[in-house]
Amino acid sequence: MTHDSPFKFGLRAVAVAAVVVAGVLVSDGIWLFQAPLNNNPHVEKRWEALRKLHHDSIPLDVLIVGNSHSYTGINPKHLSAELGANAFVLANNGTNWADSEWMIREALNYCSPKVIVLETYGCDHSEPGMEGKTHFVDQVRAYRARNEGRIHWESAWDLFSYDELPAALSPTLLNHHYTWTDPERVKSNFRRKRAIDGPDLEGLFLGRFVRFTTGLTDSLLTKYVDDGAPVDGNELTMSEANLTAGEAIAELCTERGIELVLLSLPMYKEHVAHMAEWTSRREVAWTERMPGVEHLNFQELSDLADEPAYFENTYGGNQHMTLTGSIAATGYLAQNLMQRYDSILPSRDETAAWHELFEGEEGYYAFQTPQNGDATASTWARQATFESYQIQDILSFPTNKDKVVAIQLRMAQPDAGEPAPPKQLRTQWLFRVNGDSAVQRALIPLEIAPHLTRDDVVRYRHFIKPDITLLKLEGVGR
Amino acid sequence: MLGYFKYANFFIDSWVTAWGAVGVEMHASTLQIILPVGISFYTFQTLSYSIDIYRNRLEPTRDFISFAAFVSFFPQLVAGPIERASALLPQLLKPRTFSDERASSGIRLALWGMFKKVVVADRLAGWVDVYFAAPEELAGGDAALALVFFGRQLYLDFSAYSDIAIGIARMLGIELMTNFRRPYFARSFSDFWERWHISLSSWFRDYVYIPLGGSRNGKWRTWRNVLVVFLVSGLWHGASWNFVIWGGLNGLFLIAVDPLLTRFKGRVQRVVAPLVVTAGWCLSLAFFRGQGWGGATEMLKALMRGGGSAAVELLGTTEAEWRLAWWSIVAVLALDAWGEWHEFRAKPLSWSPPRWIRWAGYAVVSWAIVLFGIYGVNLDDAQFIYFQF
Repeated sequence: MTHDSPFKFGLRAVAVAAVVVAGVLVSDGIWLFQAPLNNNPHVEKRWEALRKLHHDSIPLDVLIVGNSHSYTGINPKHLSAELGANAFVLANNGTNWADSEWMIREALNYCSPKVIVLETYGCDHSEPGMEGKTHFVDQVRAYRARNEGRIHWESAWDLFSYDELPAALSPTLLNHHYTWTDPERVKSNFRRKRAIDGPDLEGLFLGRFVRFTTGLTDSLLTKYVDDGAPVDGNELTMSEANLTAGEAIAELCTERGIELVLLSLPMYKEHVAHMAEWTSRREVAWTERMPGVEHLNFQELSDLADEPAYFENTYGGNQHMTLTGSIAATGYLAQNLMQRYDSILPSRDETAAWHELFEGEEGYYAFQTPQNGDATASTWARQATFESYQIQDILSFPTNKDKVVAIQLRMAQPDAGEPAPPKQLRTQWLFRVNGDSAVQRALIPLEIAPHLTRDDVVRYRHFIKPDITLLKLEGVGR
Repeated sequence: MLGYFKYANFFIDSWVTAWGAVGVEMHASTLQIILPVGISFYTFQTLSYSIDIYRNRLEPTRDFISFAAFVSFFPQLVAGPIERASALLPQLLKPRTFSDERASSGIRLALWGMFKKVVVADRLAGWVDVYFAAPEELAGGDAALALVFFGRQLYLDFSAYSDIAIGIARMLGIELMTNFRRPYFARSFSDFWERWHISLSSWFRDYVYIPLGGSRNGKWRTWRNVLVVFLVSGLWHGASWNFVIWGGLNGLFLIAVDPLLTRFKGRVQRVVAPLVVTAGWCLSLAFFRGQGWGGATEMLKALMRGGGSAAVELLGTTEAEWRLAWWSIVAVLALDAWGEWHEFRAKPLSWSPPRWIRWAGYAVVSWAIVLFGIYGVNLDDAQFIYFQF
């Protein structure tokens, strides 16, 4: 029996190819070459959270889109608490505006924000198809975290070159090197099969992921003086692909009736040389390509850009904001949004459901007053007068995953001509240490918190250990 | 054309350097030339066509399309095998029919080539790059490994391309000439050159060595002709004195070592001679791969330095990859040894497994390439070495 038929031969070749492809698909399906998620799958978690909010019919009002600068530089819970509306940060590390465009397109399936804030670092950052390996892996991760069929497929062709596509679509083809670089991971993935933990969605997650808690050290500040800025603004160039994506985002927002605003989060003032030239070049391009879209340039805010505590302690090219820096920047963003979009942003804090959602969350007690029946915070004083100052309230509440208890005093900013608020106030308390029946008395100083202080309200804070039970506030003094 | 594109800058530089050596300072600007891919290959292919017609050994074709296909036949265009018009043109001119057996053999060869290139050669390429980047820092053991690894890489890389080219052509019904025949089992240097890059060696034999007189005019003339062929062959590989020295060294090995190797007989010859030939060949590769004269001599100095090898740490690899590389090398070597054994016994390999086993084998090799191959954004895959020639 002869088989000299090209058709039959072709069928056999296709069958073998199908077997190989099926093997890849099975390997992908059981996560055999799944990369580690570094114990914090925040990229995946954002999309899961976004879908869950949609599923739970919780609307989003402000969507912040960008890369790692966004999720470290903006605190969505603080922003929500300050706005009295719902904000979410949808950002992925190492990605650019081209990614952001598709993120926004897909996100609009799950939410209808009134305002989209597009962080600008992704405009200069990199270009699709011209990525370094790290950026490619980041882009792949961001791409896979999305999963809406049509947009997902369309975006693949836009974000990856043809030779990158197989690796972008298949973890096996991307990470097959684990076979020899990390065989233990392959074995462990095989044993766990599909049981690799998904993102933990306990509690309310709105996209924040801050990795930096300490600011610039003295030695690094000295290095700025000695060696100059590590980044030259003249070398930061916008890519055409990112500008095109910016245009598309602007058009999409116009179509959907969404206000789009550009936000430049700061780096430390000494970090970038030729900052003015860089800013000017970007603004010229944006004005031409995205006319009418406003640019909030926080780099120009000396309160932010001059404060070493607000910035990641790095001399590398890519400097992020610290936890306190992000809260300060979030305050400025909140103020700007309220000034511009107060009429279109809903006042969700007028509903009990909103307070139930945010009660006890980060920033909630800094900007909201505990509601009746609040089970998290203790109110020790309300609407009291101290000397010439008007104290709004004094609260205590657990924070930082219950690791500490915050004591917070909110005071109205003095009127013009009145003395400036003191840097520190002292409070006298009766307390008991848990497990000890003896009642003790102590003076606890409350320091002014600049990153939480606004034009209308001064906030003082101090953190105590959670095993101390406060019993009574006896007084406030200097 | 080849002289302009490939050698103009080399000769200008050499001219300036030569005058500089005797104290005459000359300034010459080199030409901004982009070397067309595969120029050395298709130039030699068309040269053979012209020479064969000149010698009345071939009728000129009047079929322009077939001639164009002969010059630019895509599977072997950029890195050979360098085909003779007398072999390839008739195949292009006559109608071809599909053959299941031939196509299957073609797929097998192309897949095997892919495996050799993607799994073994490119894995070694990264390590060879590390070794040759700083030969002055290598211990003797590592220098030896560098040369052995490069020898394997060069063979697997180039023979892989030939296998893929021959395999694809075979699927299309065109039979290209064999380009490699287990060179590391050669029993003399002349035997080596009948097994290594056969299409080029035979080209030089037919169009340079024999016209110069070959071995017909006594020992000295023969040696002269051998040296000329190897020096020109070195220059063919690249416009650099390193390649000329590499070619010259191989010519000298053939002249000086082969008479000694022929004294071995029987099993000793079958075992010892290939080791001597391989050692000499690998030594010469210091000039083929080294960065200039300095890089090559540093590698040879390192070889003399003594000391062991700290390869896994030095190369920044894992034990798993180290084992994988060695197993792959051994697998290729074992298959070559098997082929050599069959040739020695004059018994061509006749085992033909059932079709389903063959196709299952293709799937397994494809999977091995997917799982163990050096490809993708996380790894540094390398282009075929002979693309640069």
